[in-house]
Amino acid sequence: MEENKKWRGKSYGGKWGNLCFVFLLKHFGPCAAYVLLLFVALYFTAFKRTPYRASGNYLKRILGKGRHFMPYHVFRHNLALGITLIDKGAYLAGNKRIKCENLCEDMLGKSLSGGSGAIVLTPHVGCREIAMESLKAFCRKIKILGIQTEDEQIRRVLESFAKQDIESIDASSFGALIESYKALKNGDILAMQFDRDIGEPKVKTRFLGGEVQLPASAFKLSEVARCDMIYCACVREKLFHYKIVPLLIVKKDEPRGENFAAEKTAEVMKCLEKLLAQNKYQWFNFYDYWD
Amino acid sequence: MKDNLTEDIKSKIISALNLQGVSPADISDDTPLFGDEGLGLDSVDALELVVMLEREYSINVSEQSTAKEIFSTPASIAEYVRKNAK
Repeated sequence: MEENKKWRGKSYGGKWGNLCFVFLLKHFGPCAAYVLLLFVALYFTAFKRTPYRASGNYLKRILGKGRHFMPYHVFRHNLALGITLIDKGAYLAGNKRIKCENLCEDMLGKSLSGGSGAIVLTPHVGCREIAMESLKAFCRKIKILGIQTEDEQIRRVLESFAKQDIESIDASSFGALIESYKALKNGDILAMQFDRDIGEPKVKTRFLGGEVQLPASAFKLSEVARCDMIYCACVREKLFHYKIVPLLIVKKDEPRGENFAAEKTAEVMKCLEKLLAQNKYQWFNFYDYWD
Repeated sequence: MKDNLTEDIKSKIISALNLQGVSPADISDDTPLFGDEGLGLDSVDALELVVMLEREYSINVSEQSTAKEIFSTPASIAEYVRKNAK
């Protein structure tokens, strides 16, 4: 892959910008933070070209012919991202107005029965952190396999307000998959994101009209640790209300042919397309990985 | 003189990773298994090797931090097996 196509995390807003939101959340609640967000989203739409392009690139694909007056759609996209980030902070800090309904509860309960571990795979849709908090109801250890990319100063600001108490496994380390395997063998829940082009091996599939490469290591983990893979997404349904919706389950005992990972990945990306058609502004993967 | 355990491990690496067209004779005791030189294995292969050690020698690699060292060459894996075989 070309160097400039590699995925990099990017934090916006800076330390003081994030401190303003933290101040409002602490003293006035999420609604006050939403008001500030209106102006921030307008500013980002008008003046921040890199995120505008990234957002526009996705919106052209999802909106198709209905993509008239793109600045309006980018503004709504920025607004949806901001609301999700505010809700995440408020939820992790213990705000009781924000609720999350888990529609995968029975499915995950069955996967975890008999002491098995399970792999929970989410896309960059809605709010993963709220979903992770809901998983605590299963009284299992939760580990997140991923890469820390948040700006250090911003991370400190956000963690001073609300910190998620979940162990993470650094996906860039040599032993990441081994540690993940051990966790699954211990009956833990391993969470990861499936729509980002990191790590090997990869599979190619179609998504929103273009070809994308997606990681396939979860299939190997599922096979050797004998555990189910549950694809789901935590979307914002209405104000203060999220729900975790199932996309696809890959059972541990499904027969696995040579193209198993590619076929299942294609299937789950179709499910994701359907979900995005209903939640157009909740895709927060600002990375151009098409073609 | 060839070390039987190291030779056995080479065969099991080839089998576990399904390395087509590679025989134990092609791999020296000190061939690096990972990185650009040697066999060029990746982290998924490392996971396969962990599973192979569990299955064939009943050894659990509990220290993920030392995995890179353990799996660096066939000789280092043999050394680890000798120390930890039950």
